[in-house]
Amino acid sequence: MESKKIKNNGISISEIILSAMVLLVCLAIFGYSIFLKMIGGEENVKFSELMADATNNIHEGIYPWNYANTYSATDFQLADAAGDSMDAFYHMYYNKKGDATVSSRVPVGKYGVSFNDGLMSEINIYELDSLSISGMEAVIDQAIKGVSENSAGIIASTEPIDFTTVDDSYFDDAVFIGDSRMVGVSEYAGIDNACFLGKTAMTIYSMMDEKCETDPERRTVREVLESESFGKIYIMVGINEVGTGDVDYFVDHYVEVLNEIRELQPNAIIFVQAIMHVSHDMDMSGSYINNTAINDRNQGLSQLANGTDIFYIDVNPLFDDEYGALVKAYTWDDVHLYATHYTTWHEFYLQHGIVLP
Amino acid sequence: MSFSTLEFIIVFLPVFLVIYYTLLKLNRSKASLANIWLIIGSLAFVFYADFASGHYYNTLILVLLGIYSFLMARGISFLENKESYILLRKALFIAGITVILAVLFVYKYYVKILPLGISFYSFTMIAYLADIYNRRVKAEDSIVKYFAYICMFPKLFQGPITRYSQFSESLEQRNINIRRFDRALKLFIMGLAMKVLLADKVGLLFFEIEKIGFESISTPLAWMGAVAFSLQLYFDFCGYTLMAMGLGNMLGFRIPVNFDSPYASRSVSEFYRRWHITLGKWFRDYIYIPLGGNRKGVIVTLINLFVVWLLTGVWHGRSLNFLIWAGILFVFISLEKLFLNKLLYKTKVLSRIYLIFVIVVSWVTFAITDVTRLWIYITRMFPFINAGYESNVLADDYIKYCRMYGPIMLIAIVLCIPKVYRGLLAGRRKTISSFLCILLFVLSLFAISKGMNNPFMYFDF
Repeated sequence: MESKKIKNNGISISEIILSAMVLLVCLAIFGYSIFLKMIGGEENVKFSELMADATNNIHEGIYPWNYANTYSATDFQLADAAGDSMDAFYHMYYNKKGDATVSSRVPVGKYGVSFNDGLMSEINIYELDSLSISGMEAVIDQAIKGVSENSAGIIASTEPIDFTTVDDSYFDDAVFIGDSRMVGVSEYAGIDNACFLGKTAMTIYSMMDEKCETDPERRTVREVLESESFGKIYIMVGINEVGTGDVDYFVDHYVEVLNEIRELQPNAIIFVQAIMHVSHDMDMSGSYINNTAINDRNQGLSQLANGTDIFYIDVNPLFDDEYGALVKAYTWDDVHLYATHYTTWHEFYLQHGIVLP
Repeated sequence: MSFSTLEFIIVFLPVFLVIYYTLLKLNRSKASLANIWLIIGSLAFVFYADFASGHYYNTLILVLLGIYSFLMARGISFLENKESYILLRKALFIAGITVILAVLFVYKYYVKILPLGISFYSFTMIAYLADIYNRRVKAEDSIVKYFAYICMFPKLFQGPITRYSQFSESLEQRNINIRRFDRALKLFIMGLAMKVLLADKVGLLFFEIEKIGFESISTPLAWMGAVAFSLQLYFDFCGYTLMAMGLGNMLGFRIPVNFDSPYASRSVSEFYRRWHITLGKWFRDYIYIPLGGNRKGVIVTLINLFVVWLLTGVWHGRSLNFLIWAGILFVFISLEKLFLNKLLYKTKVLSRIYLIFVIVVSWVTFAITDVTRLWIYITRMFPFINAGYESNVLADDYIKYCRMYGPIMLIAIVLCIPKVYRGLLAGRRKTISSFLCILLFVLSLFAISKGMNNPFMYFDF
């Protein structure tokens, strides 16, 4: 293509014009996505988040200014002595309640304490340590709201009232919904008869609309729940949302999703699964993906169990090390189990069946 | 810190180049001021990277070794024609090389964090001293020019190992016009895209396999992973070298080619004449030939090859798998030299199949540091070795990964074809390449920034 060349050897006008056009198109796409982000709206979120993420990072890469955390790391978080976090908790409780009815602490058991207003039952000092500031706030808020005795408490454990051992036929009418860890279960746990609706990067916010990679027809979760009937629903999401929003926002949305599922599947037993831990290395690395954040969310999730048709199961004790983190030898990337360990998970499911009377 | 970061592309490079070109123009192409600025910029770049890794005194090693080699070279050159000082001259040369090698050895084998670029600049310095000792080149008078040569950031970190004779003129005086700059920038962008859009993406497959655990992958997936790793390694390194060449050209230097479509070779010997060319040439010129090369009979040739490959394995890393890797290559190259070459060069297709097979398996030994895990992977690739490691394998796992990575692997394989690769590079002349490069550039920046705060690159869990 013969075009007029500029004096300076070899760059033609047409090259400059075409290049400028391409550059403008790219900038327009970027600008449009930022515009979409500004006006909001569900459909626009994914695309604009993708771009906004990138522009965010470009901004951060060039101007190394730190963005403030959503919840501030106060001194409380840094304290690791049991006494300090207890103090923090006590003062926070006192301030939130706003009255003088909390005046003393009463020792309970070996490591526990309770407050004399009777709203909080035993609080374990060492479990208190693993909570962040917002985790403590969540516990206090629950107590003040007047939630029933059973679900108050720091690290909730659903009383294993009805767990029984079942066999593989239990999963004939089961569906497993969740993120990449559920995808792992679908591939390697050896459960062949259940329905799997897993998608890497699934979050509680996207769950119902995600086209699932583990489904042969790539249906969305909502589609499948609308068209088929299940007896057991297992849900595991949470690791991908650890960086967005706080525990309340997460749990509130989880409740909305559970309500929708309950409408679509009135007879199913719902198993809310604890988010699996990450390894100690990742926990200590300063990443926003850490076990404190995970534990906070698990604590919130455990409140959702009601003991009648919603249950909370936690696979972490099977894979935790002495730090309460995922055993390093069980994972390559600090987040996902090696395929060979999913059979243990299968066993866990078999031992935590619920059979309603 | 490398060329494929935002800080480098958007902050460092423009600022550096503006001042650099100004200094070059001011001095009417005599490069003395520009050289000083080049040294400042390069040392700042290294220091920034060393500082980030927590070992800020590592930059000092570069400076000290630079001064040391400069002085030794001056000494050797000074004594060039003095008959009575032959022994002293030799001593200086040996002292020069030994200290540099000792520093390299100590760092490689005893310290966790290497000073960035030490493997490359130490070899460059040794080549310099050897060339002076052998009277192929005269020692550089100006310490500024020498440091500009040693430190220049395009080739400092991973860049081709160069020979001083290729640079002596351009260190004195160099010219850049807009056309050269245009070609250089396009080369840089192509290298960047190769690394960030191709290599990093293809490399994810091997990472997925590592996450599954080698005992649980099927044989097809094991082979796919090996091929993916082979492609990733090539495009990562080749892309980086293209970036180095582009940057060097922007500065007015000619950086030598380091890769020549090696996967199209017909023998392992040929492969290593086309892969990391400057390293191969370094070993040939400074180890193999001084030992006698292939001129002293079959036995000595084999011994020389052994020495070269032993050192190559050791140079790459301090774990056993690198020795295994080097050993495999030594065996095949020896066999080729003895009788295999005659057979291989009669065929066009079979020899290439042979080459791909050997090289892909050899890269597996290069990729996996832990020898137990390496053996497990090998047993997955060759399942007739009944070693009993298999655990919980999903028989058709490779189908999912074929869908995910098939297209990009196909693109990568096509780019391995010499005609395609050379055509792409030659296409920089054409008008259309300008806006293709802009597209690649934008996509690359996007990919880099998307992966920035994510601990696992482009991952979602």
